[in-house]
Amino acid sequence: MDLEGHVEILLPRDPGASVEVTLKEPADVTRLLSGRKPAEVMRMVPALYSLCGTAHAAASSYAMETARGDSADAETRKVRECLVLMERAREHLLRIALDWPKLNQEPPDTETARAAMPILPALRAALDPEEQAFSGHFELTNLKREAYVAVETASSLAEQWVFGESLTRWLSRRSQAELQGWIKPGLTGAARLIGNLDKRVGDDTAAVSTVYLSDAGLVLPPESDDLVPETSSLERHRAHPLLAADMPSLSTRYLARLVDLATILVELKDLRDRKTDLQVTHETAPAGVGIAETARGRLTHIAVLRDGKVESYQIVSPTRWNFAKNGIAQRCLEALPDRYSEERLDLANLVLGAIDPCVSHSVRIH
Amino acid sequence: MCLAIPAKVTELLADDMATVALDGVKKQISVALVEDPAVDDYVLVHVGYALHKVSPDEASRTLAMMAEAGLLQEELEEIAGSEQ
Repeated sequence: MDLEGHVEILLPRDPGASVEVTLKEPADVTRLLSGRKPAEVMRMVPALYSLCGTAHAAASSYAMETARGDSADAETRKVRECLVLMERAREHLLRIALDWPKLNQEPPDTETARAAMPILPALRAALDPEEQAFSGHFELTNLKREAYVAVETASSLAEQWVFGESLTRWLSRRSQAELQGWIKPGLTGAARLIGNLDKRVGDDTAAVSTVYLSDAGLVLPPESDDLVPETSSLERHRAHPLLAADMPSLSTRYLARLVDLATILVELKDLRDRKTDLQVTHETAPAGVGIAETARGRLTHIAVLRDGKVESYQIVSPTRWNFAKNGIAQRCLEALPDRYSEERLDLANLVLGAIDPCVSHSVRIH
Repeated sequence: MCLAIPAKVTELLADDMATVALDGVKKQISVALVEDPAVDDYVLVHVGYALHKVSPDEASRTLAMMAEAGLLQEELEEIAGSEQ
C-alpha cells in the first residue's frame, strides 16, 4: 500500500498513443470518520492531513456547518480565511524555493523555505491562540501585533527572494513589456525561470484550451470519459491581463502562481490595515459541502450527517481533478511536441512542475 | 491531499539529510527545514523534505488513528512496545 500517494506518468514511444496519467491517491482514512460526531471529525481531520491542515480544517468546518444548515459568524469565517490564505502563501513559497530552482539547474533555496515555515504558526498563534476558529464560534476583538509581524515577515520573504521588488510594484506590471522589465535583469530564481521558459519553450508548447472547475458546477469529477475541469492558481486569476489566454502557455501557468502569491500577501496586508473586508470564498456551497482554496486548487469535503453523526465523508483534492484521465495534466502532456526522449522527459517535468500534484511523481517513456 | 504520517528519524546523515522510518520502509530525506533534528524525533515528510517536528504525543495519536483505519501495523506495534 502506498500511504503517501503517487502520480505515475507514462509517455508513449508511439507519438499517436495516449499519455497515461495514473493517480494513486494516499491511503483513504475517511472511513475512520463515519459514525463520529461532527465536532470529533473536525478535530481529527487536521491531525490526519496536517501538511495542508488549515485548508482541510476549513473545508471540514464548512462541510459540517452546511450539512447542519448552520453557518459560522463573519468574524470566525474571516479568521479561517486569513489562515487558509497564509497556508497557501507558505505552500507557494516552499514550492518556489525548493522545486523551481531544480528547473533552472540551480540548488534549492532551503534558506527561504526554512524562513517560510514559521509564518503560518505565527499567524495562527496571533489570530486563534485557543484554536477555536475551526471548531466553533469566537470573537476577534483586535488584531495582535504578532499578526502584523507574521504578515510582514511573509511579505518581506516574497519581496526579497521571489519578486526582488515590492509586491505592489510587481503586481503593477500588467503588460508583457512591464513583465519583461522584471524578467530581463533576472534578479531572482523566479524571474530567471520565467525567462528561461520563454526562451526554451514556445507559447504553444503544452498549451491547450481549458475548462475551469469554478465554471463547471461540479462537486465530484465525472466518471465518464468527459473532459475534467482544471482547478489552479490560473483558474483564480484567469482575468489578469498577463494570464488571460484561450490556450495558456507553460510560462503562464508558472506566472499564475506568482500572481496568486503576491495577491494573497497584499490581501492579508490590506486586511491587517483594515483597508478592505475579506471576501470569504464559496459561501454558497451545497448542503454538506465545504470548500477551501489551496495553492494547487480547490479542496472539497463532502459530509452526510444522520442523527447528528457523520454517515459518510469524502475528500476531493485538487490533484484528483488535475491528474484525472482527461484532466489538464494529461492534456498538456499530450500536447508536447514529438522530440527526442530526453527532451520530452524534460518538458514533461516542466508540465508537472506547473500543475504540481500534491504527491510525489515519476515520468517514464514506454 | 497528503496524509500527515509522522516518520521517525532513525539516523542523521551529512548535508542536512536523515534516514526516517515510515510504514516499515526506511527513506532518506532532507531535514534542512527543521530546527535541530535529532534521532527519535518525529517529523512530517512531504516529497523528500521533513517539514516540521511533531511531538511524540501528537505522533502517537496520529499513528493510532492511522492504525485504527487499518494502516501502519508496524508503527502500532512499535508504539505498543514502547508503552509497555
